[in-house]
Amino acid sequence: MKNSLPVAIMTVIALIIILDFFVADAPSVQWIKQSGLVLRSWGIVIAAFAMGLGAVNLLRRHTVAISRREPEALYSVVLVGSMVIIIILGIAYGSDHPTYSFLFSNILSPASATMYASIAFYIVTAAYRSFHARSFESWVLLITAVIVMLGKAPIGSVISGFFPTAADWIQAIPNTAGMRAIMMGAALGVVSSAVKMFLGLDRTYLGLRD
Amino acid sequence: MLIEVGKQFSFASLFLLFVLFIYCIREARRGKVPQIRKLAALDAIEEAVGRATEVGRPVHFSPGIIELTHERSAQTLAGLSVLSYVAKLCARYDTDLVTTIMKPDVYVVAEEIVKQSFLEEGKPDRFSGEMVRFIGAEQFAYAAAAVGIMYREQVAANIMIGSWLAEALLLTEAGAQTGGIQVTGSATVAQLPFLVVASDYCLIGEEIYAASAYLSQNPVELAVVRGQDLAKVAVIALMCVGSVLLAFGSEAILQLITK
Repeated sequence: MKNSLPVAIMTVIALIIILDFFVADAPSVQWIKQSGLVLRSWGIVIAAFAMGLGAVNLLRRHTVAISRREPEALYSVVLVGSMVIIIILGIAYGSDHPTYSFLFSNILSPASATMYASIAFYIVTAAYRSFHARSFESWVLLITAVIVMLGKAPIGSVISGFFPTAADWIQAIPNTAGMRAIMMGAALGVVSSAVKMFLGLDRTYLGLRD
Repeated sequence: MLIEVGKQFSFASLFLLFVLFIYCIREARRGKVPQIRKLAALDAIEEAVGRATEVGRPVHFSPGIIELTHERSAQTLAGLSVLSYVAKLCARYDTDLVTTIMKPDVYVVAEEIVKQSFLEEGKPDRFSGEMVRFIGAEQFAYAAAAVGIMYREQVAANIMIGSWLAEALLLTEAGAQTGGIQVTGSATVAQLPFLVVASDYCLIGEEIYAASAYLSQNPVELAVVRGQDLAKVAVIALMCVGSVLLAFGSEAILQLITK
């Protein structure tokens, strides 16, 4: 009962959500549309509770780090301080308040943009490691990458008209075919995962294995 | 008409897929257990945890950055299946595990999975709340914190299976710099090239959904993988027939799939 009840609840809810996507806007199936809408709102409420649990975990871990005066406790002070300020501002004045917007636009956004920008350097180091031509596959990867890079950079067309044409062909034909094949396989994988869950074969999301 | 026009073929296909999977499961229960090919990435997980045990450093795991109510949540669930296996290995070998989580709903499930895995291995006292860390629902805040944890704690193995966006490369590069074995997996095609070049082993697309069956070797789960392959054959056949018919000027298949 302890194991089968959650699986049964999940299966019923999932079937309603699936049917909600497919059914037409007919009066006889309005209950499915309505149920789907209600279930999705429940999902939002549950996610909000989960956010509360996550925030408690975060606060607990960092307050312990501060109280123990761990080596990196300073970062914990910054995190707890920022969290408290944003929560108080958000609850008291809402997310439209100028101070809230200022903190968001001048601290969080630039910090996120900095992290995103650093990816450019990581791409170079990853490419440097992986483009060592040690096997046939590495050679194919290296040659393809060089052609595409030259095809997309202005210097490529200066060297030869071959590079832009070849780069476009690689992206439009073999690359698109490969990506579509992966997407098709992955879509079938999603359905197979759903079947496993509906039948109670995969219960890891309940913390159970066998 | 109960089913919306334009979605009728999809609905019928989904129904037929369900029937096919149930047929394959029944066959497996009758003793016809299919074999699936070796997946080097999943075999490497035990090696990665073993190496972390040898050097006395932790294993880092992440199930991606997608919540459980998203259209790509199946990837997160596939990652959580692997987390169960990794947590059991860590419990068995007394290795530290650090699971970093970006989405709060995933955090609750992941914590339960790790706790249960330690319990099943007979070591509930070894479980600690520090093993599953909720970091924050902001993409690059998560990436910065996870990268920091990987550097500070010098993780010896980095296992990332789930759906990723731009942060994937930040995490895998941090894993590469700490010198650990990296096993990644995703069905998000835009990030797969980064994962393939930056990690030692990568599960591509549907392989992440077969992970649970591969690791458990459960005949019924293996049967579902077989059903998946049969469905793939049917889709390829439909594409071939459609292409040939289209070449001869017939749009019969095109009209069928858009019904």
